[in-house]
Amino acid sequence: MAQPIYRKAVEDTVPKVNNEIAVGEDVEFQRKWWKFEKLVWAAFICFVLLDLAGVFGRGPLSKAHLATADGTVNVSYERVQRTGTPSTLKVEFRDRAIRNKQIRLWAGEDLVSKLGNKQIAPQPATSAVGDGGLHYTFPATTEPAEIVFSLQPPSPGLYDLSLGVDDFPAFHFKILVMP
Amino acid sequence: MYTIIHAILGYFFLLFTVRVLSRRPGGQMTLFEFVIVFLIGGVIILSTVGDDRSVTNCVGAVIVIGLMHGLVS
Repeated sequence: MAQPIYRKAVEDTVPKVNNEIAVGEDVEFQRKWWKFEKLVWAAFICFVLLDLAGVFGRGPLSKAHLATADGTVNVSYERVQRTGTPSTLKVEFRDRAIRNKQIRLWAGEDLVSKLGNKQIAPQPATSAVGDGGLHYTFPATTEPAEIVFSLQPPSPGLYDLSLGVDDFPAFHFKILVMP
Repeated sequence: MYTIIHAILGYFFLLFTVRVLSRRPGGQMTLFEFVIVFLIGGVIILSTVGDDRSVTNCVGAVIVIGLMHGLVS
């Protein structure tokens, strides 16, 4: 069987650079891409490590704790939360915060409008709106008493939240909600 | 509105991740294999993201799966 005769030499459209072989692709671009890939992988690994640490929420670094000087009122929350993801804000009280077998607590209105407070456990005996916030009254007998706010932020952003108990200094803190 | 924005951003993020993976997934698959792969993926993602459907969590999950693929393959 006769061999076909190739009249035209096979040539590459990409010219040789530094006498290196050109195999139909832009080697220089490929090198840049490989370098770019390495940078992206490094960025991905950093992202995963930061995520594990809780920088983007739901990890050890995202948990925060506040307390009054005498430790009567303690607040535990997540300083970084995620949109649409449930989280909790816990307020714990000692004896001094309980007056007439009840606890009076007030919170900034961002608790409901921005941080999406869905539920309070236990249910407050009374709740009222006023002074740019919400006022709750909880029945309580002995310490330790704990109130849990279930949050589910509807949209991302940085929100200020104020929380206080009558006769005690108020807490002012920020919560970052990731997309 | 947010669904459309998330879909567009998700498309480009997945495109970018698959391109960086330097693989050609799906190139040799039959239609049946394609269905199985998507079905299995759809089931496993439920437990992967859990109750956290945020963009941050889904991006993190895609990156981790990409890294695992890079390590194992």
